[in-house]
Amino acid sequence: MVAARTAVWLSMIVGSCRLGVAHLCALPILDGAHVLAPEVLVLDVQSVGLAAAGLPIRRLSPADLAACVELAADRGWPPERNKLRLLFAVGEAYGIDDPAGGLAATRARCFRAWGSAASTPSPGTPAGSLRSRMLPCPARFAPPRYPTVSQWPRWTGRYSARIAGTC
Amino acid sequence: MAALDRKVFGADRRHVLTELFGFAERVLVAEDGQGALAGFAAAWRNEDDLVIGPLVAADLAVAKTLITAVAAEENGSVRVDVRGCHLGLANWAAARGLLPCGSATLMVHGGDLPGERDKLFAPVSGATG
Repeated sequence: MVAARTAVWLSMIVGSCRLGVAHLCALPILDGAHVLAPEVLVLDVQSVGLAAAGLPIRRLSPADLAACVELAADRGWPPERNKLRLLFAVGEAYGIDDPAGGLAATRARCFRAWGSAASTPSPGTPAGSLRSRMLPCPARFAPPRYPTVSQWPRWTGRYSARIAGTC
Repeated sequence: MAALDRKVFGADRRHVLTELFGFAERVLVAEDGQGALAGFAAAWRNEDDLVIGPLVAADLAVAKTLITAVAAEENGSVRVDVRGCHLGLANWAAARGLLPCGSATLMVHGGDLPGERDKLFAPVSGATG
């Protein structure tokens, strides 16, 4: 077993800043590493909801795409159907059904990276429950200890250069 | 592509690369002067943006060439998630009309990331690396 090393992406996009736990991926990097560092769970445990611990988690399928899109809309995010389709294709998606209808939370794993969305953001939420129950580590409470490596900005807009291959 | 990606990313992502050929609108490869693979990029549609990623390149010049090859033929908005350490690429993109519209914080536990991450100029998406 190779030593597991883990990168954690913490989204800072508009919306998830407000939500706090809206989008998070833990990514053990080395191929073949199956053990997530306990500290990964520690970060997740910050928002674990004991009240949500009993909610059933089920594997999502592409048939749940509409519900995922609806949840994204509820969070004020763009639907990003294509991105969701890719996650379904290359990863595993899990969710918690909202007793009132639709999904209460989703989470996707892709080469052991994680992304999630939840209908309620604060501690005690389905998102926290999903994370804590899907990461194969015992839960324990401690502050996260992740040094920031760098920012990863997004750049978007109309590209104005029109001469291919000469830049 | 799989061999280069594994070297750069540090893990085997063949199933993701395979999926890109059906999922992305375009997949491009760049060759060096000897015909060896110098980089590759995919462009996929997400909402109103054409997202360029993954972007794997031997150096900044190859990364620019791949972005240009995709973006120069796109009339709509393009999006590139440029890692903060690639300031040269970010400035170059900004000079061509792209604007910063948000960022993610990359945090690492347990040592450095594997692979040759200086050659990973953009991820498939923020959720997938």
